[in-house]
Amino acid sequence: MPNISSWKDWLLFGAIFAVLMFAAPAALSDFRLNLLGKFLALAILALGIDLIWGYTGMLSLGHGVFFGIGGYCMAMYLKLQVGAAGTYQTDLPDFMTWNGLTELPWFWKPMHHFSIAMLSAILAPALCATLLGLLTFRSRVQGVYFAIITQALALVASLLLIGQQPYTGGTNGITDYKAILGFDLADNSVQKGLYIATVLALGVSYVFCRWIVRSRLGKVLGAIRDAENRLRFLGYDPVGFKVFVFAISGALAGLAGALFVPQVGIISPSNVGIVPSIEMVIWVAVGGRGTLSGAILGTVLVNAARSGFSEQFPAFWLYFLGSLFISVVLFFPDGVIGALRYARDGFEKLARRKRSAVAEFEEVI
Amino acid sequence: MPTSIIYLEGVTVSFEGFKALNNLNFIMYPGELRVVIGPNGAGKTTLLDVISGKVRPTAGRVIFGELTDLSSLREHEMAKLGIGRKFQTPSVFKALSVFENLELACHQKSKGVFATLFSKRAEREKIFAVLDEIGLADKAWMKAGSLSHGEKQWLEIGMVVIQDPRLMLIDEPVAGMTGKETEKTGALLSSLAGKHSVLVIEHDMNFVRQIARTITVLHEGTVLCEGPLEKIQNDPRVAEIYLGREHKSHASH
Repeated sequence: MPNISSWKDWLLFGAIFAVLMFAAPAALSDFRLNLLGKFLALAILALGIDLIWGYTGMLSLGHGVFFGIGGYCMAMYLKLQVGAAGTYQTDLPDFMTWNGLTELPWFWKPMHHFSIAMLSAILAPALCATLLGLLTFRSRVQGVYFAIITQALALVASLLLIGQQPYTGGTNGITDYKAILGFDLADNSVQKGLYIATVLALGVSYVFCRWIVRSRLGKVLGAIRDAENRLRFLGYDPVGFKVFVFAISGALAGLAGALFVPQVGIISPSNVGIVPSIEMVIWVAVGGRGTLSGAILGTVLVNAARSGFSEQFPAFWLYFLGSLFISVVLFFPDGVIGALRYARDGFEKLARRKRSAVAEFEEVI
Repeated sequence: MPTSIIYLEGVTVSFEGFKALNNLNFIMYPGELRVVIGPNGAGKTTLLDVISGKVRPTAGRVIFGELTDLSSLREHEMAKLGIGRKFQTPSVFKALSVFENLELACHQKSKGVFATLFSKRAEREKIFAVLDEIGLADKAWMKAGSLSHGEKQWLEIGMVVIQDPRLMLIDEPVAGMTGKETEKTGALLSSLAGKHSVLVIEHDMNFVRQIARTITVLHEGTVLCEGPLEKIQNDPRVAEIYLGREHKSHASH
């Protein structure tokens, strides 16, 4: 059975989880810990992209939208938490006041409650993905056409956010929060709490995704990636499976957005559009698509490189990202994890050859 | 007369004016092993496409078993009804192991999203029984993509067998196989007939001689003649469509 190494995986998972949970908050400065928390939130989104792209073979270039829906839901809650403590001393969010609104729009009202905001951050992107999935997959839209449709969605969503300034804060997005669940967001221990929550959410998301890809459904996903049309003749309807995975993927992106916003302090259309959506795909490509650990690793590596780079040479970051993507595609099509596996297999082969050579030598003697 | 397993009545399939099938009538009875032969372009694969739902007939009816009209069903629904298909070019799931390929084909009743998500262990015994039958038991954990051409053919036949369909559609099972493998395939398909109905398309005449009981000859999208091997071999029209071509190609040299 190919499951022998399973306990080793869990051991490694436990070790990494413990390091992130206990060692990182003790060892890192508040600034670095906050950065790491942000990367780990994004890693949850990368898991979702890996499910739909790496495992099922459908490239989504619109995950910024699902991330954005989650992020905006959380931002609406945080903004309403500000209450009368804002610039204009009214219950209305500041940008609404200067855009001439006098009353809170209906879809903002439920966001007074944290639980509703959190639930909609996860369910609204899932619902959105389900609808889009039903429309496209039922008419057998495949491959590059799916990518184009999702990219169009990203464009439309970011334009909509910019255009509807009185309701969404326009280009500036929603920012300037004060508190979450009554705790002061400027407090370092609150930020540490958010970091811990993110690590927990990532851990649960990882286990959940692993359960999906290890189930028979996971094998169906692999079959869809390899030969979708063949699968139909075995009695499977790929539509349901694709919609399911797309919805889960959207929900994970939404969760990521909701965790990202309170740690970063802002969400704006620049997190939603085409460029961020493509960047998200690059994280997974760099880490190694089709492996969950690759998605997480790639996200942390690329984003760490980004913050390192933009501290030193802010102007060159995009060129660097572009060349990174090209070189990964050309030289390491399976990403960092693929390269590591390749190296390990190479060493094993070498060791085996050495052993058999020694055995042969001993025999001769 | 027993009820037919598959019955095509006046089926026409046209692709932008070209009639791949032309007013075709075809009938098979349960447990039968039928071989369909015919020159290239005779419509053999299109016949399987129509029966398995890949192509909709432009005109005519396709009746499966007890009056199930197939013309409005989709591929996966037909597969669930009990029609299994092996394709001309072996199409297995390359990134999955041999075992997993069979696992997906198995489990006839639970092929929905949540059934697969919460499914228990695979039916190992059933899968290994089929693996023994197709001679791939020692390669169960290999990726299907790294099998040889002949082994892929075997795997795909195994995937049809494990579905336990009422009607098996087998398109060119022995292409790329050695003489010995061909013989084994013939024996396997012969043993399946009776319990299942098997419709085989094949070019290899030695193979056809080995397994054939009733042969249907297709020509230009319609049935030219039908009957036991001797009758087909002695039919001057069959010689004409096969030999006639050869004469022509000789003449053109």
